[in-house]
Amino acid sequence: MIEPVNVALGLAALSAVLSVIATYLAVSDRDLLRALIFSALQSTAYAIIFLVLMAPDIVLVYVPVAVGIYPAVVLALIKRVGRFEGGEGGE
Amino acid sequence: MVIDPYLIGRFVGAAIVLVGAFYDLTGSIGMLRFPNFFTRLHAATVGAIGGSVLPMLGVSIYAASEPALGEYRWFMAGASAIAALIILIVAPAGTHVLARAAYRSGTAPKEPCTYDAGEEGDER
Amino acid sequence: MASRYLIAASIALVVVSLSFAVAYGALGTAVPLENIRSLARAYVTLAYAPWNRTLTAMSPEAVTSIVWDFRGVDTFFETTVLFGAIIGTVTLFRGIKPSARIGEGLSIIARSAAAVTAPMILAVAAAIALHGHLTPGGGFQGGATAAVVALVILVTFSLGYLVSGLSKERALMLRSAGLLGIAAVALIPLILGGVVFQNQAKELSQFSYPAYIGGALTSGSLLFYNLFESLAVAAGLTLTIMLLLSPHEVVEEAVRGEEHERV
Repeated sequence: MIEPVNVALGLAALSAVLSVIATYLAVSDRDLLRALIFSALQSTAYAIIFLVLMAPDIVLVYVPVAVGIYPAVVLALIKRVGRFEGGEGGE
Repeated sequence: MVIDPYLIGRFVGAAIVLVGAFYDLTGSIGMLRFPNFFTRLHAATVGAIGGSVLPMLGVSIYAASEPALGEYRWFMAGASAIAALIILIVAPAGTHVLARAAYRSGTAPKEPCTYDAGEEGDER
Repeated sequence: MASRYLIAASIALVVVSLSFAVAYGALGTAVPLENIRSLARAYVTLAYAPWNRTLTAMSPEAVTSIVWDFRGVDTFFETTVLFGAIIGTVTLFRGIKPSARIGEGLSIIARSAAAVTAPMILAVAAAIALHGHLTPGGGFQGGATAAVVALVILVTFSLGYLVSGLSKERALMLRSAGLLGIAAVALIPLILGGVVFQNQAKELSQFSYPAYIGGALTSGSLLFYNLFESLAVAAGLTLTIMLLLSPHEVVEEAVRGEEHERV
């Protein structure tokens, strides 16, 4: 039988690995909209880690900022500077 | 023979969670197999309503009929029920917004199309 | 395309193996110092200690009591940094006046869903902010959650709908009122014979905010700090969103008009 605490810590470990992958994809993607979504995914993974590590105060900051305000502000930026990195059409 | 009502509640809750897992499986298969954006959106909504509202209601019933959890079981049951209610309101609205935006901007291809109600200039 | 996912998977593998190595003692297994634990223990036990009224913060929430009582000046500086950033945004966008013309917004379905959920989010934000001294949460968290309500209204209704309810000047005024409230709560003990950022009575200065109001635990100054901080953060973030998401033509017109005047 798996201990419940190990299930929770395993969830945190999975979230950590997910956040690493999402960070790499966000950095390397030339489509800024997709990069933004990967970045928000990374923040959500961090929120799960903080929840498992029993820091609910940080989670309560992360949820509105990662899901609401940060994508909105960066979307406004992307709307001004264009969707693709490095000139017309990307690639 | 005396049947424990708590036991029935737990069985009902677990059964609802299982039905939700079935919906989740169906939704993910549809997500992979459906041909275009709008049908995949349908699959995503099946996953959201059947796969997360239903299990949350099941969890609510299960938690309410588990006396070992003490007084806190009402807290868990109420929180799950309210979360289910909010998802029930918000998820279809979000899907509707996505579908409407994709339809009106013409970004998503409408390729395998049998009937298009919005084609006759219906601005909705 | 496939190579990117391969690189991502290998980075994840490197991170996992590094964490395994560290967890199994690559850097040694000793916990650094004994005294770190005792500092944390002191904070946690002193957060709510009615039997030790000269050292406690009278709040069962250890984080909030550290944030606004034990380490109040740090938090004041953080708040100052955030509001410096917001003041920078407002200064950059100074010529812009978001018009109060109410636009069409999204469809009736989306607007109804937003009208149902926005009061719910606002209630949660108020609960997070005003219960910040009892349960996890606090002023910043509640304020950020309340700013999400403004974002939802802006997206589903329109910018004009938000501006007609909460104009730029009124948001600035609310933000300034929140900051003034924080400063007042911090400075009132100094005027009445205590020290800055004092919450409960200490041995050398007898000033004390009331720990209970009408029998309810309010933890002295923490309730007021959370209230004013949530007000300031909500208004400041709403102002930022309002300015950053204002239409391109309005921004360009404001920028060009200013250059014209200078030439």
